Amino acid sequence: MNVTEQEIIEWMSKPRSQEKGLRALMDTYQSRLYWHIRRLIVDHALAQDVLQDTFIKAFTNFHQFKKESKLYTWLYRIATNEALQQLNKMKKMQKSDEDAEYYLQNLTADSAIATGEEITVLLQKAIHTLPEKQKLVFTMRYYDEMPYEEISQVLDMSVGTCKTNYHYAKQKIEDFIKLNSEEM
Amino acid sequence: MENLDIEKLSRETPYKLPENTFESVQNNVLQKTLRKTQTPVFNLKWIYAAAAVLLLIFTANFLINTNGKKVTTEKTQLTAQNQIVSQQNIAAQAFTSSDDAVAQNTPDMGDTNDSDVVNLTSQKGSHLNGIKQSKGNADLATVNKMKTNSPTEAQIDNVLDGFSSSEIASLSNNSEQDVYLDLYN
Repeated sequence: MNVTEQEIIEWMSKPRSQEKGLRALMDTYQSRLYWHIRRLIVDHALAQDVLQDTFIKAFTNFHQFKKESKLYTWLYRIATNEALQQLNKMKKMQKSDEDAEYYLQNLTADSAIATGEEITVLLQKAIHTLPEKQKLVFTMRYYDEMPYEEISQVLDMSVGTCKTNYHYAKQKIEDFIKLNSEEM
Repeated sequence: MENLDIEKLSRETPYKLPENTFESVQNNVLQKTLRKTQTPVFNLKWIYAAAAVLLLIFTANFLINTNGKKVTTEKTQLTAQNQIVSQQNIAAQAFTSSDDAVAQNTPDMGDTNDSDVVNLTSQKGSHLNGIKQSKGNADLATVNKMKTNSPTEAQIDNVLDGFSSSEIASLSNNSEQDVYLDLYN
């Protein structure tokens, strides 16, 4: 059953249909949000926890949702913030930023399925070398194919900045892949 | 790898998604949100607290109002008693002043005869009766005062003037001698 965003908002707004609305919201967005979080955090268990927290926050703060923006971008915003908080916790557990980067790359290699193409694994590793903003813009644009306008709403930055970040991120990733594939 | 363009690569993420991931997420979310908000214990606590506060307010209000009424009734009783006493005082003063007047008239009369003395005595007696009558009327007036909110002394005098001496005498016979009035006799 395909449910529109408007229907979910209406159900969530009324106490009687809140459960129905929450179920519909999770059914509709859980997959996209999970993969967005997983690409940032890599670890499945942590990504699952972050996804759970995202839905709980969305439910408890639904009255704060301004209907001017899309529900989808609002959820992405919550998920991104939750994922970044989790990443900061992970970084604190490492000695330095380089260590954290290295940890995420190893985790990517460990988590990657055996049938996965080598270049896709390299791409994932390359993403973890990027600065935070470039990483976020790149994953949203490259994997989720979000328009720059929506990315700018989620990340609170201008469309121009988003485009610039994506351009630099793409260049860095290609350089990383070239360098590392030659080594291999 | 020289002409690498990542836009042309497949955009799959090389991670495996464990089974029942979303089912467990949904169950946990529903448990922590909807069942949490529908917990009756939480609501009942608030209901009990609100009921207790309301009960306290009503009880305090009731007690304050009851005590207030008691005080006001006691006050009105005291005021009525005071009014009775003041009326009696007025009557007693009137009586003593008339006695003085008789005493002053006596030396001037010099060679008055016995009939005049008898007249004076009867006047005094009637005056006494009148005083008694006035006392009875003062009681009546006090009761009326309690009913109709503070009549003045002038009104009481008007009422007394309306009675003839014989009416006053008959009323005084029917009324009992007041203890306070005895002090002045």
